[in-house]
Amino acid sequence: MEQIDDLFEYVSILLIFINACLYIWSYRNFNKSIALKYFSVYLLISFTIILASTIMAKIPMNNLYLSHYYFISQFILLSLFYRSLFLKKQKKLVVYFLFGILFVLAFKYYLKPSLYFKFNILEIFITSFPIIVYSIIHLYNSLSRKGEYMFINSGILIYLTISTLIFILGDYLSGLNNGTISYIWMINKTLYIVYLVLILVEWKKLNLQAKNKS
Amino acid sequence: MEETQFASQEQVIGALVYGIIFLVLVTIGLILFFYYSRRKIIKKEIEKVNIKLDHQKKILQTTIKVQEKERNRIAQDLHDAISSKLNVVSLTTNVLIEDDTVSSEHKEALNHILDITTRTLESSRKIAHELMPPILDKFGLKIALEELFEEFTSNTSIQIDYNIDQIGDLNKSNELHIFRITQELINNALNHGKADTLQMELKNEIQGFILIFKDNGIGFNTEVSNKKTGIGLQNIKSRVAILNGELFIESSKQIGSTFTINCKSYGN
Repeated sequence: MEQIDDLFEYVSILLIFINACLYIWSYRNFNKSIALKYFSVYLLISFTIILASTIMAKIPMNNLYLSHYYFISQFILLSLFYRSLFLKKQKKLVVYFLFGILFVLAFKYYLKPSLYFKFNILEIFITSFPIIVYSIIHLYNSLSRKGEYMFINSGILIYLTISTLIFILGDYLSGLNNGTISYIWMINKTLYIVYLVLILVEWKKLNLQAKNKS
Repeated sequence: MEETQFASQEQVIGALVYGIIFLVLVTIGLILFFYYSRRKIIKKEIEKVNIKLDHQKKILQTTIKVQEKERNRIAQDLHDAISSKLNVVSLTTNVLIEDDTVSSEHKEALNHILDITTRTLESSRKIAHELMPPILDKFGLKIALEELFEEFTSNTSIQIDYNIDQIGDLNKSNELHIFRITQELINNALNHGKADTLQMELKNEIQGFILIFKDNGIGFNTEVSNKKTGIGLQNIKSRVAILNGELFIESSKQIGSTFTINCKSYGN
């Protein structure tokens, strides 16, 4: 079981590394869109954090505080990613959400700095939920317009919905002493790989479009 | 005690697993719902555009039919109302000129009248012919086309090779459409294509007929023309549509343009 667990982890690290490289390459070479820029940075940061946390876990070291960086950077970059795809009014909504939530989090950490070394359920919820909403708004937008980044969007919707639930319960689950819990983490890892594969498929599509254009 | 706690943990985890599966299904369902809604909306949009295009085509075809009818009427009127009256004028003038009692001064004026009347008659006859070639009405498409080619080739260096079959079961209005299409094709080839050698073939097929027209002109971009068709080409397309035919265009700078019109069943 542990071997499979490790395998999944390595596969996802490899996949996210490949994705990050491919997206940055695409952005630099032929597609200078803002959305692609934010998404490339998101992939790069995610890769760095996941790699760091895996290495720290092997040493072993406490890597729990890295989760804050992961969730907050994911929230900021994906918000900006969706903002660049949205219509005028929706863009405003994204900005309000972004500043509002960052303010709430800053306030909370200011009041209780010890939270930094804990798993913060509120943080997970308020940084993931808006992204799920954006993803549904983007689906709605695609009804009447040309759907952009639909694979990424589907991946975000599926992965984020489930992983948010798992992470919110993560605190409670890690307190339990039960072998079957690893199955739940396994679901999360599998879905993460599915998400990364969808990102890869999207890149393939973008690349084909760019080739057809030139 | 520990066992019951363990059991309740199992229950919680079991519920969580089902919850997760449920959420996965719901999100996939949501994505599929949007995906299929989108397809449906796009399909509807395409249908709308097609209906609009069809409507425009019909309007154009009707316009052409009405135009031909009106041309025919004007040609008829010219013939009946003006030409016949002018003929009377010219006859009467002739009688007066022959008359010895008329002074020579008056005779000069009468000759002038006769001259103008003859020229006006000639013009009105020409206009009527252009509006509705009477030869088409009297001798059929083959002769009319041959005369059309004759008109273009005499007094010019233009060469037209043709091979025209007698097409059976073709009513008058369809003959006229083929005649007009040929006229337009020749005009286009000479004016826009700067061609000097033309080839035209009109052949009977087992079903319907086929018309092939080739020129050695400078050609044109068929893709651009598809989007923004000139009035001449648009006219040809509409007439082909009235004939229930298909139009194929090949064009290049080196070998000129080829128009192929394939009509399996004629329009009504």
